[in-house]
Amino acid sequence: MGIMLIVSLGLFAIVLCIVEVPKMLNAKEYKEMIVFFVILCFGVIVAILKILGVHLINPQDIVTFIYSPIIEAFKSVLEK
Amino acid sequence: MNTIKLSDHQVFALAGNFTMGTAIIAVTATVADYAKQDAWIVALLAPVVGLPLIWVYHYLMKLHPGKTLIEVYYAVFGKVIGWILAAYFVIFVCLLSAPNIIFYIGNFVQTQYMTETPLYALHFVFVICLMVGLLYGLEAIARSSEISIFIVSGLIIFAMLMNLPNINPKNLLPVLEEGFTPIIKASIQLASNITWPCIIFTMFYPLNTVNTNKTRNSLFIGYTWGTIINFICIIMSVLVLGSTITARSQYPTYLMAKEISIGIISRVEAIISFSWIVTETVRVTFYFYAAVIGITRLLGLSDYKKIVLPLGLVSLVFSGVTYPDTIYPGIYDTTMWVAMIGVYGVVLPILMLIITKIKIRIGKL
Repeated sequence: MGIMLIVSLGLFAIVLCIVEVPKMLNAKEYKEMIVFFVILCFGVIVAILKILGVHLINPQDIVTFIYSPIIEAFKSVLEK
Repeated sequence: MNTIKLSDHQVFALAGNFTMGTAIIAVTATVADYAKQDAWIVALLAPVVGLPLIWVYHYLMKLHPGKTLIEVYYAVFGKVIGWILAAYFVIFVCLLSAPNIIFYIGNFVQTQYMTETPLYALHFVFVICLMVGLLYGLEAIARSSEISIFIVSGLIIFAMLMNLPNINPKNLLPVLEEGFTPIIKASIQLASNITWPCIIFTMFYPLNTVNTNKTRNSLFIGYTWGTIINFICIIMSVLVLGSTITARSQYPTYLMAKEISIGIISRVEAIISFSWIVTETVRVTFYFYAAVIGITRLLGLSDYKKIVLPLGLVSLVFSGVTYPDTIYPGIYDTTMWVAMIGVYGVVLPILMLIITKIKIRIGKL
């Protein structure tokens, strides 16, 4: 099951590149291409990690970390 | 890129759908949990208090014609601080909301309809809808919500009317049992879900509309429309189910629709879930649109459609990560989300309005 998922993920990425990259090359949009590849690589990497069952860092825990001082101050307002 | 112009009615439909979004099913329980039988007062108070805030958003964007919120951050706070604030807004408020709402819908469908389907399968179907909508562009989203708003509102009002025989007015008593404190706390929770997220509108509102002054009215009417539907849902939940069951169940409005039994009309809860999923789709499309436009503006790209599909993949993966279980959203949405959207929806817009006014006065803008 895991291998099938990874293969289909790879297919998705390759097809997406085949469709999008020539368009961007023709229009000389190199900045778009860099952003496109960075986000696509990030997506593929986290997807593979998720398929392999690796525990990913929850972005909301980062938010929780940043906001915990404010939350402490407003605890009486936010909690019942 | 910004040649799309929305008509007044489209802005009305978008604002209405967006405001209804989460509120119909998911927030009712939180509000009843805080305010008990006075939840209906909250549903009246929070939107009315929120109206001036919508005006602040409108006025702020009117002072910066032809800009999105990202450029307003630049203009007010300068390039560096503005970029950091805008990046945080785009990533943690807009982009992170997309997997959260996808999880909400997937979890709802899984617990109520397809109990043996894996969550990711449901999320996958939903993400595909989202991607198709975004690749068609803002105009397609606006037109579809133009069609859906009356269908959705009609279905909800129909379900509520069918519930009239089941109401028990005693459920509303005693009024103001514990004073105003629980009402204010619950109002903050409700406003954090229906009023403050309207800051997302500033990503398209004056930029993609024809006449700012005329469109303002449809923005207000759409917002009011959404809050009225929300009010009907909350008051009917408390009237039919009572505050205790409303607070304890995960989807009170849905539960209430199961109670309908008039002649041959019974078990019509699917119309509630249909309306909720439709409005929630508009909401998640909006958050995602704001995120994509935000990234495009932050990095100075020319077209947003190139990065839609890769970001969809990222959202799909994180839809199973951001909320690891169903307890987590209850804690996160009542604390962190309120603080985050409070900063970006209340504190910063008012601060930016004041700074803009001062800058205009001393002639720097």
